[in-house]
Amino acid sequence: MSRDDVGLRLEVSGLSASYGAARVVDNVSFACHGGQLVGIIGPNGVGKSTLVKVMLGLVPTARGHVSLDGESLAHQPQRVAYVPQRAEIDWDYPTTAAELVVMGSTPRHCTGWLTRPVARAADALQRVGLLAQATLSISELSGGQRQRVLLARALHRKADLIVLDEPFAAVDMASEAVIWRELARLRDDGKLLLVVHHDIVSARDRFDACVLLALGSAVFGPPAAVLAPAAVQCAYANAPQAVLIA
Amino acid sequence: MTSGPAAMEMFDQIFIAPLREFGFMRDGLAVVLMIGLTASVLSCLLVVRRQALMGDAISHSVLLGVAVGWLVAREAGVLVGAMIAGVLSGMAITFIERSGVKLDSAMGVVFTATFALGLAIISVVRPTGIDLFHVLLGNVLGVAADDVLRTAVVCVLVLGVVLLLFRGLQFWSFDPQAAQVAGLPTRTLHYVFTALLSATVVVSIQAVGIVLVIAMLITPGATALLLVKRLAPMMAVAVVIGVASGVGGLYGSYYLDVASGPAIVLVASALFLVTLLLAPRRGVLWRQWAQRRARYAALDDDVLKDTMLAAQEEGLHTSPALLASRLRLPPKVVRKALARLRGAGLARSNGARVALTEAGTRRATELVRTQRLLERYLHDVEHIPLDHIRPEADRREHEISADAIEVMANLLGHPRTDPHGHPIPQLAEDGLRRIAGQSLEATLPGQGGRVSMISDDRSDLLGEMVRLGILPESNVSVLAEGPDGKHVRINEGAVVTISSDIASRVFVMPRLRAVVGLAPVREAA
Repeated sequence: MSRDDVGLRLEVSGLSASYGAARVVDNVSFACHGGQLVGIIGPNGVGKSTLVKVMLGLVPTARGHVSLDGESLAHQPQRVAYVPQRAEIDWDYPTTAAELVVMGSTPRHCTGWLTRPVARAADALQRVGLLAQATLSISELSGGQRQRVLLARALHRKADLIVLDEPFAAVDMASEAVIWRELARLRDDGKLLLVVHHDIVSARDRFDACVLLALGSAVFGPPAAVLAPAAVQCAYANAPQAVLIA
Repeated sequence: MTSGPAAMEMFDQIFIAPLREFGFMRDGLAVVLMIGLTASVLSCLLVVRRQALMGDAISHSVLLGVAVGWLVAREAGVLVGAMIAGVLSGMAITFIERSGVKLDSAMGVVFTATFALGLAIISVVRPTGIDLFHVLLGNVLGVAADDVLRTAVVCVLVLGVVLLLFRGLQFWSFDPQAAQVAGLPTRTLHYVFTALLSATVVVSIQAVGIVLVIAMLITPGATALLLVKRLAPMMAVAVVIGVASGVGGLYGSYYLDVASGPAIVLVASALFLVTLLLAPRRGVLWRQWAQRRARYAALDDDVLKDTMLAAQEEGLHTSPALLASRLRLPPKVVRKALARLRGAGLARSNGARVALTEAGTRRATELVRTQRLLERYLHDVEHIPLDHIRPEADRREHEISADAIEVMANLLGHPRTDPHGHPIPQLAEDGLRRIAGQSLEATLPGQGGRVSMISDDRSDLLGEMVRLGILPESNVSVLAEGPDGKHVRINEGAVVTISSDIASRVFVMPRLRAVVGLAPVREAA
């Protein structure tokens, strides 16, 4: 399947947002399509997470808009899955891995009961290698397992656009491999994936396209161009925490 | 023990007779049952959202609503005013939080400000027909028929909404951001929840009063969370606790003349305390008991294992004193462990000599196999240095499953010895082989051989052996014997001097079978 004929197109144009007086996202524009694994890269504190939250409507937009296949993204929530940062989740919440996964398919009208969560979640849990942990309380999962169960929730949702915020932060190597494998599979199925990512070195090999953020503004393109040493140095030079690049 | 009919009669006397006799007890019971149900369900959502204080904030602001409602429309306005105040304060908290104030601070400011204003108004206008003491502390025995009806309406409303929107409320309370992205009306859910909470607080005031209604909105949920690990069963358990507290408090209030609010809350708190101490897995006493048991189990395992090793591998006469000195444990501790092992049918002993039963030998063999395979695994796969393996293995051996051990054995190709050279019992064999070889201490100048085993009972000496290169499979030749120890050539290379502490812990298969001792004798310390 050629990647260009996938009928999925995300367009972000002139997106801006502010926290109080500070403009944290400033006039960001880019467009990408189904079958792409897109990295959102930049130094700490530059607003990577904020950018995706603005795109998803979690932080109010000041200007600009986001559209999926020509229609506003806000009107098609059933096509989107969001994997927040692991630290934003309360892992002491009383629920099991399987229940967490099926929560992702809660209908918009909020009604209906969840019966047999393990059977329903089995497919997604199997893909991330957590079938054996299906009935475990989420507080008993390790860091990497927690990240994988959040990914399984997104898989279970069967969305077209999947947005992941730092899915590789403090994750063991086995989990990291599983997550990359599943992201690649989703891409090959024609889905569009946006991944907030902090590691420039792996970003160069793994992503089809990258958004490099620097002080609110963004550069978009293939990783080889966007993450060229000169561009990266420029982005990180003014960053709150400079990062040494290999 | 009372007989059946007598117990029935007593139950009837204590619990049923007051209901037959007094209408206010019947109304009171109806109210506490419904409030127990309603408040407990909502308490679960408050507890899992970590917003326990939200109930406190709403309940205190209700006093302002009572005061203003009375000013506007006298008695008729009180309930409406209370309801409106509850919802408004919930919204005020959300609004203040959105403008960047921390949630707990926002709640604290709102509830004290509204409570103070309510008290101020009441202290000035002194409304007739409102007993401040009852509003603050509850008076379940003074409920009227209207109160019962109102409580019933709220109860049906809350349960209906929670049942209908359970999936939405669950997703929203767990991960509001993902829920919002998924298109759930999270803002509406928030306001629905706040409204249900306000309605529950208003009808609960009759039973428990403003000051203590918070207890009914926290304690049942907090108690249930100690017992179950999913939201739906948590609500069911919380309801049982809430209803039991309500009923217990009602009778406490009736018989002891305690204000109903404190009575109900004290019962709920007592249930929480008992659960905290005894809850399986999470309870404080349960954990201590489980830890104690685990410690005993580990100790018993060690005694069992060492009894077999001393007898079978080293051919020693196993007395409790010998085991105590080998394990470096007080004799009393060992004797108690032996008593437990006898009780479990694993050991026999006549005081001076300990022997294992057949079941005991089987269990000990399994333990030795687990420990030595684990040591082999730690050494070969995790590359942990020889002198650090023992503590690591001791830490893990009591937790590892039998399946995992067999996976390890397969992975390692069913090794015959552990990294120190001790034999690993195979599943097909009965018991242990004796360690072959003689101690280096007993090896005379001119003799030598291949190291078959090194003792791992002292990690400092083990570290020294590793440093000197005295390892299983290395070749050693004793050249001479001096006052400071034996002069030994290792692997045809360096000559080192070895103290008798070490020499007595190294076992050698002689190259020349001049001295044959298949059963090495270790000092019975």
